[in-house]
Amino acid sequence: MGVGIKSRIATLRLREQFKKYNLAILLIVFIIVASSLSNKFFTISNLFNIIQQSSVVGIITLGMTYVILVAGIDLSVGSTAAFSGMVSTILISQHLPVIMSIVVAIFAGAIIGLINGWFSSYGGLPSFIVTLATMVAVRGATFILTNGTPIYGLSSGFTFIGTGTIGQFPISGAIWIIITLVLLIISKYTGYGRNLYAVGGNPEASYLSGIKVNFVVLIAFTISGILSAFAGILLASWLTVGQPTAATGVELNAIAAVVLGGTSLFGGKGGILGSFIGVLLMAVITNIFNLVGLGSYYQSVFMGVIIVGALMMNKYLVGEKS
Amino acid sequence: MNKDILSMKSVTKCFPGMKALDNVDFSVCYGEVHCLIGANGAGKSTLMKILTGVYSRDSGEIVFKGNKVNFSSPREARQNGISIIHQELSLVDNLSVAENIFLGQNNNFKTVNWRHLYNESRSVLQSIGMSTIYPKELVSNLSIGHRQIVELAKAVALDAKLIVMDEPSATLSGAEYATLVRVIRDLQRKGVSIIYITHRLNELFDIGDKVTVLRDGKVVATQRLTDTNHDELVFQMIGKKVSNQKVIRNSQVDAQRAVLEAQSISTKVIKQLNIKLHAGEILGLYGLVGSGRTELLRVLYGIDQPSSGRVLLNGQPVKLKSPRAAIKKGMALVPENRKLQGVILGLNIWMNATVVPSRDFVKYGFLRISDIRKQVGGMMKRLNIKASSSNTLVGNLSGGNQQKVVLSKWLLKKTSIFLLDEPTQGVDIGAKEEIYRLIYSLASSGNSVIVASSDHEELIHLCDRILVFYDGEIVKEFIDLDEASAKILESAVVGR
Ligand SMILES: Nc1ncnc2c1ncn2[C@@H]1O[C@H](COP(=O)(O)OP(=O)(O)OP(=O)(O)O)[C@@H](O)[C@H]1O
Ligand SMILES: [Mg+2]
Repeated sequence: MGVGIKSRIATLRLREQFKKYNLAILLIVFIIVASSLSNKFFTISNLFNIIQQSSVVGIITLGMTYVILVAGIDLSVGSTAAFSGMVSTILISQHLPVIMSIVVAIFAGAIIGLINGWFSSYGGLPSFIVTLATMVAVRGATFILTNGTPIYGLSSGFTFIGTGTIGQFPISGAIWIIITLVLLIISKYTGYGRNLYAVGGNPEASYLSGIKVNFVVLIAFTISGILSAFAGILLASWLTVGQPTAATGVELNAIAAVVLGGTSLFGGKGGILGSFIGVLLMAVITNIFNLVGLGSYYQSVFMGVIIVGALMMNKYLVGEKS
Repeated sequence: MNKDILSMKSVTKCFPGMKALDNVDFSVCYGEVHCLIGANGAGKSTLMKILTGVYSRDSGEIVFKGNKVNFSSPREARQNGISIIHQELSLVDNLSVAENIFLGQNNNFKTVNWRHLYNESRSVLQSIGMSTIYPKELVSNLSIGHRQIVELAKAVALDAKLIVMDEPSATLSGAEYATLVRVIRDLQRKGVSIIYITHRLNELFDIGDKVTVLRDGKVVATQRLTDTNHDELVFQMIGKKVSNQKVIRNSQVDAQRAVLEAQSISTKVIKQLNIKLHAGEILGLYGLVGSGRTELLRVLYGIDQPSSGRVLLNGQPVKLKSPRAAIKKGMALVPENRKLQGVILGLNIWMNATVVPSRDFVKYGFLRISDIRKQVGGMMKRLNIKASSSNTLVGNLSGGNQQKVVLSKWLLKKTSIFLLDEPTQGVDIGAKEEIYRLIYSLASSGNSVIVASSDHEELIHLCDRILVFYDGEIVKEFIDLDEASAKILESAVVGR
């Protein structure tokens, strides 16, 4: 009997551990699948390519994670990215210094984030509706900027950020990793980070404990706005064109990656690291599709199936009724 | 031979890293009130959750009305005639009282007959003598004590053969407790069996037939209540003798210094209240559920704004617009509803204990995590919080241990005015004494404390002075506590 109980406790412990690392395990499984399907997978250029391609949605996902941690949602990230991409490229085509153009474009994103955040916190509206509204409004504004025409002929100083490499490693990927680390440290080791979880987990208890609940939410949306703007600039720089249609639908990928990464849509649970791996996971899956030459319509269908499948499997493996 | 409606045999249950129940045998006869007691984290709630299909067991068997059963969901248990009042209330806030009473009894594919629903609820509420609760009222507008009564109504409405009550009295004051006792007697007369969990041992002798004591997941004893006594039960619960001498305190109230004062404060609930809290004083607030105790604390803490009157801190009028402002002025609140207002279930112990923003825990913008964990660890030891470490999720703690976490949050913050609403709800005897000792030491180092409690003995034991609330007003002040023990119950009921 005693032995039985000991081993029972041991399995439960193991399951806890598995719960912690299951996503990384899943990623490894997919990497193994990928490398067995195509010997091109494990080439330096392919791997760096994956990182390059994920960095835009990766950065957006980081901001989305903060927003979802406080039990909000930000549907406007794609529009914000497009808007800021356009602003930066317009300014550069007017021969403004690169740095200044970028700063202005990021500032624009911060304002959009502030608006989202204010209405979703102090304003008392559901963030789903607020950001749905800014999503359409900002996309419209993006088209108004140039009457819908794209902007070409960007300076090499600007396109370098998105296309350049250090050794062979893409600069945009490096930026993504650095921002990930910064947000990870903020969320784990600072008062603000802890408040994110507290507010998402129980806003009333947080309020009664003296946390500025609305302010915490406001900042989360602002960070999301800033990061979306930056991602939009990176995208324009990478594609060497400012397009008003850029980043359409990216909010869905970001939300999927956050959830896949183990963050609860109800707030208060999960984190940055999971989202980082979630983005990589989706990128690897897309990469597999491309390597085996799956048509893009089929890719969408399979991606949907895989996301739900992965979440269900996860639940089945770790979420047995206690 | 079979007089048992329920018998659980060698039930074992493990959680990650711990054994919550170890070969527990537990049985209940027809028409019996069987009490279940034990320290915080002993496994009482877990045993009941296994019975009602909330958790699955690792091993053991359950026989109910002569059949082996294995409920896989609370719904199945309910259909078989077992209902449960959970320790953490499980009402739906945004539904009416009536809808909550009949929650889960609606057929998804039939229309609701509202008139019938309201009438039925009214008669259920009447049958338990609580017709003051209005069936159309939203549950979110009810005080915690009334919610408890609605839970009771819900269990009664189900026509169950066995009702589990997990600490139903933790926030009830004398009069509502009398209601509870009456309802239990009625049910018992109808042949219903009841499992009753409590930390207030005196209640056992009022209503119980038998008592089973759990300690660290094991059954220590099952006995008739007529064959045992208070001290023996305490000994069985915690495994050692507790010295019967109460903690002695020499109170040092500075009657010249009023640190907190409310002058003719009114809100929707309270009317023209005047109170004064002195330096070093422990002031008790007693009254029936809904009499205005909690409301007053909410105003003092800046949650609700009074419609008239003013609050003075150290003689200076202040306008506290939020809890944050109150905290800045050195106030602390332990709220009445720990699950909704006190703890963040998804965070671990140290994060909960240090959730109040404080400079002490931050250096150069970063949390001093190792220092925090050391301090929290000390507090856990002091309050005897049962958990494997300060990294344990608060959602995985037993109810009483969660309450201790809420308390430690303010003890670590080191403030000067403590507003405590039901501070010891759900806390076991040993830890209660420790909490009293802590409150004493707070007061004797010059801090001031207001304790609102539905347990009059607690107030008499703890306080320098007790105010009795009735229908939003202060109707009595007891300075002589001997007088209080004789008259406080009556005073709270008749309002004089
Ligand atoms: N879901 C869970 N996951 C992990 N551990 C749990 C879980 N639920 C309960 N426990 C642990 O099991 C033990 C028994 O808990 P239980 O809630 O049964 O105690 P209790 O006797 O009801 O205590 P209290 O008087 O405080 O309500 C506790 O140590 C608790 O931490
Ligand atoms: Mg319990």
